[in-house]
This record gives sequence, C-alpha cells and structure tokens, in this order.
Amino acid sequence: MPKACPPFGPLAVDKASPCPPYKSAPRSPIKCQCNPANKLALKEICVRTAAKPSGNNAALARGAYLLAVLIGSYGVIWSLTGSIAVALSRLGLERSEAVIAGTLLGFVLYPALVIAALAARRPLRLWALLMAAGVLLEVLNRCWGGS
Amino acid sequence: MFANLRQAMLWLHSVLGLGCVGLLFLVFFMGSLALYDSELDRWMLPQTRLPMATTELSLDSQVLPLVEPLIAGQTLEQWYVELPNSRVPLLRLQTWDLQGEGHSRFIDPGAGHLLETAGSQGGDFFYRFHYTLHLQAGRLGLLLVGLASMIGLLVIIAGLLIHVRLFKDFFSFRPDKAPRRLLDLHNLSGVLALPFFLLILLSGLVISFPIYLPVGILAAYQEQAGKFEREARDLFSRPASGRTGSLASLDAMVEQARTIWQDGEPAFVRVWHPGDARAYVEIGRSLAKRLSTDAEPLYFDGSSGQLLWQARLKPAASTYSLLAGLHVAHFQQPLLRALYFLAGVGGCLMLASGLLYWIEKRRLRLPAGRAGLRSMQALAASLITGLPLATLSMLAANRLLPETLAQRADWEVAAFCAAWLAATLHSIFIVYRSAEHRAPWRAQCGLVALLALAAPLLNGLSTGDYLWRTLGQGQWAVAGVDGALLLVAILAGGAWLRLARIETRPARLEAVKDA
Repeated sequence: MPKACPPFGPLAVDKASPCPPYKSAPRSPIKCQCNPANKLALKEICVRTAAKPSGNNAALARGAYLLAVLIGSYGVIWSLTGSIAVALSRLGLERSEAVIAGTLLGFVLYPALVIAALAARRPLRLWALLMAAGVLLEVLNRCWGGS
Repeated sequence: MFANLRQAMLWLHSVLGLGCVGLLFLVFFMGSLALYDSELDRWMLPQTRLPMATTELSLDSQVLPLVEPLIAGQTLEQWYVELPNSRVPLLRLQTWDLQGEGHSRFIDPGAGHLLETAGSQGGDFFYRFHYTLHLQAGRLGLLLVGLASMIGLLVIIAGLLIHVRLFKDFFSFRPDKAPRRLLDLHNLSGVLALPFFLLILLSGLVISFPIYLPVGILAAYQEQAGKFEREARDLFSRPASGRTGSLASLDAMVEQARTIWQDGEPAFVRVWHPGDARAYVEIGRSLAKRLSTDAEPLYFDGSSGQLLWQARLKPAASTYSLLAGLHVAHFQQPLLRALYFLAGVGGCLMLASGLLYWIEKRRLRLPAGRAGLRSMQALAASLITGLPLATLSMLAANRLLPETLAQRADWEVAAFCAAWLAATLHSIFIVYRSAEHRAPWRAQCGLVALLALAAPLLNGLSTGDYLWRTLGQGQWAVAGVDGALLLVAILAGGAWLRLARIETRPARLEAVKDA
C-alpha cells in the first residue's frame, strides 16, 4: 500500500491524503523503470506525480503572489524611504544626512516586509493597508518634499 | 496560502535561491578574485613586478616632470596620482579631460618612467566583472547584480527562518549519507560565514544606493539631485578662472597634510584644473589602517599651497563610508583579507552545495531526463567548473599571447568568454547525452587541473619568474598567485582521480528517504 503522499520539498500539498496510485499519472510506468533499484521510490514517484495537477496550479499562484510581493514591497519602501528622508530633513537634520539615514533604513526594511508579506495570515488585508499607506506617503512626499 | 512560516520559507528559499544562484555564484567568485586584484596585476603585467621603493618619494622632482609633458597643451579637468603602498609598488596616474574621458597609466617611481600596460587589464577585469558582469549596455549588469544581492539577502533570511527551531542542523555534518551530506555542507558553509554574507550583500547594495533606491535623493533634493554627493561627502569645488597659473610645491602640501592628520599617510594627490590660476589640490588619506573609506580629503590652493578646506563626514555619511569600506576592503591587513577571501570562497561553496543538493534530491525522486533538472545540471557544471576553467584560460592566454598583438587586452577577455562558452556547451551536451550525472565534472576537473598547472609554468617560461625564484626574491604577489594556482591544480586533480574511481551506484533506499 502506498503511504500518504510524502511532503515533497517545499512544494508539498498540505493535506496529506492517500493518492490513488497511477491514476492519471502523466509519467508512464516505463519512464519510472529507469530507476528500478528501488521499489518504494518507484511507487512514491508515481503517487506523487499523480497528485501533480493541483500542485502545479498552486505553484503558479504562489509564484504570481511572490512576484507581486517583491514589486509591491519595493513600491511601499520607495514611498516610505522618501518620506523618512523628507521628514528627517524637516525635523532639522541636514538634507544629505536625512537621505542616507532614510535609505539605509529602506534597505533593511525591504527584506523584512517581503518576509512578513509571505508569512501573513491575511495577505489581502495587509496589502490593502500597505498600498493605502504607500499612496498616502507618496502624495505627502510630492507636496512637502524639497527644502 | 502556506500552512505555516516554515513551509513558506522553504518554498521561498528554493524558488528564489534557484532563480539567483547563477548570478550570485558569479558575483561571489569574481569578488573573491577581486580581493587580490593587485597581486593579479603583478602576475598578469610582468613589467610591473618592481621592488618596493625604499627612499621617500618626491612628487615635485619625480612625478611632476613625468606628468607635465603628458598633459602639455591640453585642458584637463583633473589629474590624479595614486601613491605606492604595501601591495602596489608603483604609481597609477589618471588624467581626466573636460568631457569626462579618463586615461590611466602606471609610473615606475624608481626609474622614473611610464610603463606600457595596455596589453592586459590585469586584476581590474575581475574587479569590474564583480559588479558590472562585463555588460556594458547601460547599467544592466549593475542592476542585475543589485537584484541578485537583494534576493540573496532574502534567501539567507528565509534559510535562517527555516532552521529557527532546529539549531542542531547547523552543527552536524554527516559525510556518509549521499544527498544529506550536500545539505549538511550547505548549512555548514552558510552558517560559518553568515555575518559575512549578510554584511557583504547589504553593503554591496548600500554602496550603489543612488542607482537602486534613489527616492531619498529625489524627494529631499527634487531638481538639485547633483548637489547630494557634494553635500554628503562635504566636498570642496570651485570653477576654473581661464587664466594660467603655476603650481606650488606638492611635497610641501603633503607635509602639511601629514601634520593635520597626525599619523596619517597620503594615498592620492589630485590636481583640479591643472595649469589654471584657480587650480586646487586634493590630498586623500591612506586607508591602509582603517575599515572606513573616509579619506578625510584636504584641499589646498594650487598657487599658494594654503589649506582651503578640510572635509569632515557627518554621522550618517560616516556610517555609509564604514559599510562601503567593509565591502571594498581597501585596508591592508593580509590576515583580514585572507579571511574575506575564505568567506567569499565559502559563499561559492554554499551556493554550489545548495544547487547540487536540489539536483541530487530530484534526481533520486523523479524520473531522469526532466528538462528543468537537466538545465540545472548544466548550469551547475558551467558555474562550478566552467568559471574556474574560463579564468584559468584567461591567465594562460595572458602569458601565451604575443606582447605585440594589437588589442591584446580584448583578446584576453575573448579567451575568457570563449572558454566559458565552450565549458557551458560541453556540459549541456554531456548532460543531455547521458543520464550519468557525473559526466561533465570529470573532464572539466581534469582540464582545470591541467590549466592550473600550465599557468605557473607559462609564467616561468615567459618571464623567468619560476616559483622558487619569486620565493627567493621575496616577490610575494607573484609567488602567491603561482602557489594558489598549484593548489587549484592539486584540488582539481584530486577530484578528477576521485571521480574516476566512483562508479555510478543505483540510488539507495535510505538515501531517498533521508533526503
């Protein structure tokens, strides 16, 4: 009997349901025979590939989300860095100092934001919040920037 | 979207890691070589293998008589001379015209003449490749390197979060289990130099922040973005007058600078608007004993030699200079430089073992011959053995090409590119031809060993500087490069022999389960 689908690396399907062996397996058993030394491995291959289609869609969705997170975080950090620089120079710091301090902070906050966005339980709410904040900050930068 | 943080980070680590492993490996490899750019200069440009000057250098009597005929009749924006230091026994002269075109030459301070070094780019090739990837089109290379660095930073953080509960994973190495040992090696090499990786990736990004995140400058300066650098670095400048003037004694200015810096030594002298009545001289401090790139430049009036301006960095700019200095490693501490080099090689090891682990794991679990797997196998071979192969071909070409060849430096770069292309095509051909996954490694390891053995030999044949002679004469730069090449030859030869003995075994059950 094949066991429950073993989690295959990071792309594992979370629900560990026993998969029907060979059902709609896209790889024919002939291909699996290239690795005949290991019967269990053979079964695992075929069981795993049988569960592939849903995994593919999930991977695609995750990839799209990752791309959106990478670009969206850059946008948010862009407005945030700009407003930190403007705010610091308004508070009396020299312009060049304010720019460097804000930018250093931006480089540290970007990875933190990406990780937080991927770990978020409710990504939609987080992104609605971030986008609103980003647009607001950008408007403030345009109006209050320069000195 | 993900069951838990660990799942999300595992996915992020492998997706982004696979996406950027090629670029990051290139940057780490070239960056490690660039740490020894001066030593590679000595090896690749034999005419610069000069003994260290023992007498005090006089700018007025030794350098000016050489510079003046060179710049006679031209209107230059500036000329710049880098003084010798413990790694470089000669002077580097750069002239910049009003259009911003630069020209660089070496001066032998002992004999007092210019050296012809157009035949090779020397270690500069590796230094520039490290951050431009030899892509001249726009700033494409710089942007790609920046993107890869930021993604590398994310991958490392994700890697840390994967193991946040399993600290014992960091400190165990099980060399007997086939794919597992690759993962152990990946974790070990990743953790061993972890602070270095975080620092080097972050500081690399920070150095070029006006390219990567210019928003602060745009927001705070609006239309005056050009003013940022002058204000941040507290630089001095004044326009030329158009009238001719004379230059006061440079040696006296250097002496004045020494007293202002207390125990500092000058590293460079730059003359702005040479020949003009409003010319001024900038003298920068040597970074040999400090981590920061803050050169504390002093500005003197060209005609009177009086101090005009002393640049002082403010706190944020000092932080930036420290981060930049930790990245560019201009300090002259041989041990610290060696640690940087080892950490850089450790970075290559981490990237390579991570990629190989991914390949091995899938090779055991999936039917052979999947396109993604095969292309990753070809990528791994073209990086891990292909890149050293290309570098060694460049060094061999450097010693083989005739000195009289026109555009010799370009031919060396062509040798690098051709060898890399050939290695890549070879690995693609082998990977697609046979399921036997070790195939491309053995031939390329053998070739690496041969070339690494040939390069010191060619160096000896063409210049007479065999290893025993350079060791005897104390030419440590040349001897060091030769020694490193021989070490590479031994390691690659060992790998070649080992790969011959290992027969391909069928995948073992426990290996599959353990991975």
